[in-house]
Amino acid sequence: MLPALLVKLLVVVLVAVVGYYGWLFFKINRTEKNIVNTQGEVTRVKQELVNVSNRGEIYTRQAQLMELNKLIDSHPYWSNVFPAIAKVTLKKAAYSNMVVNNDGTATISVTVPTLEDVDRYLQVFDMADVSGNFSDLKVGAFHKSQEGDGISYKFDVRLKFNPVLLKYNNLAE
Amino acid sequence: MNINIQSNIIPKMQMPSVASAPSRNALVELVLLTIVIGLFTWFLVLPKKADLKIRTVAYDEVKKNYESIAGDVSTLKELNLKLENNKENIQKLDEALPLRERTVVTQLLFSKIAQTSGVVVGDINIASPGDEVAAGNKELIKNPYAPQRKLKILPVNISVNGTMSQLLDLIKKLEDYGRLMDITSITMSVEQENKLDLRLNLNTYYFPPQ
Repeated sequence: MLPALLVKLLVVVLVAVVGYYGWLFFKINRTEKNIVNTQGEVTRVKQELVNVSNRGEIYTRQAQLMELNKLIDSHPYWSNVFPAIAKVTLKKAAYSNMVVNNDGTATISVTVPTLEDVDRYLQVFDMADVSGNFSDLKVGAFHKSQEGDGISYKFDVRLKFNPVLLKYNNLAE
Repeated sequence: MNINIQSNIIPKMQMPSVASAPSRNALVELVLLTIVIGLFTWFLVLPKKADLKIRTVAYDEVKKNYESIAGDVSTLKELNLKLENNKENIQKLDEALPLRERTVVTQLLFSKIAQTSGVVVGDINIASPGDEVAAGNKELIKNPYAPQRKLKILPVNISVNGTMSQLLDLIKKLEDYGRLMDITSITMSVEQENKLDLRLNLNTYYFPPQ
């Protein structure tokens, strides 16, 4: 009785396996057809891609825009620097020569009326809120000069300024 | 004539037993079916299944490729539409970073900016763009956007004379102007009472074909 039952079961299994094989056969055919159709679509969209009008200009503009954005990020705003320098300058001091570079260095020729003013001029840069933007001040030789009736003292100053001052919206406070 | 056949003379026929024959057949069928199923599965179903897997992977790749290209086409079409609807911004882009450099135009531009600030222009020195074709590039005329491009720097030196406020105005105009210009160094010196000499080193840029 049991072998007969097992035979029936195996017949069912065989039918199922044959059915599965048939399904695999069908599925492979369908997948193959899909591959061929999709490859046809790929060819079509590739052609469409080539034929998109202004394609060359789009690529050029994209590259141009990318370069411009990079340049704008590093664009220096010098008009931020001069008010910051003016703010830390004594009213009695006058500048006769100034060289400022975008690497954050500056050389300035300063004229003040008295030796005490030279000291006052330098003291400003020791203040904590000033040293954030201007630092490492080095002073060259003093020259005493006669201008009209008055005497003045000239000296060169080399200093570093914070390059952040050159960034947009970083106006010195 | 009467023939008497004795029943004991006839040998008894050996008939198979009713219970054991089907059982043996069933066992044979069981074995055969198992072999058939095994062989069918091993030689036909499993290779077919592996084949389907390979083709499914291939189809997925082709499909992914298609979707990627179709996406590119759609993006390009959108960008093309934006390009056509933003002519004004494109002009600004070309002003900020020109696709070609004409030194004369740049010279005129600096003169114009200096004049509007009221300073007296001493000298405007623009570096030569080397052996670049300034005009009449046949390939470029035929297809202005096809070649690969590379950013180039054009150094400019300007010497002007004016009051402090004029010079500051000039610096402000240069840094805010539509054509991108990066001042790299500023040299200011007193020439006479209220008059200053200003020398500016700056870089301006363009994006020509390589």
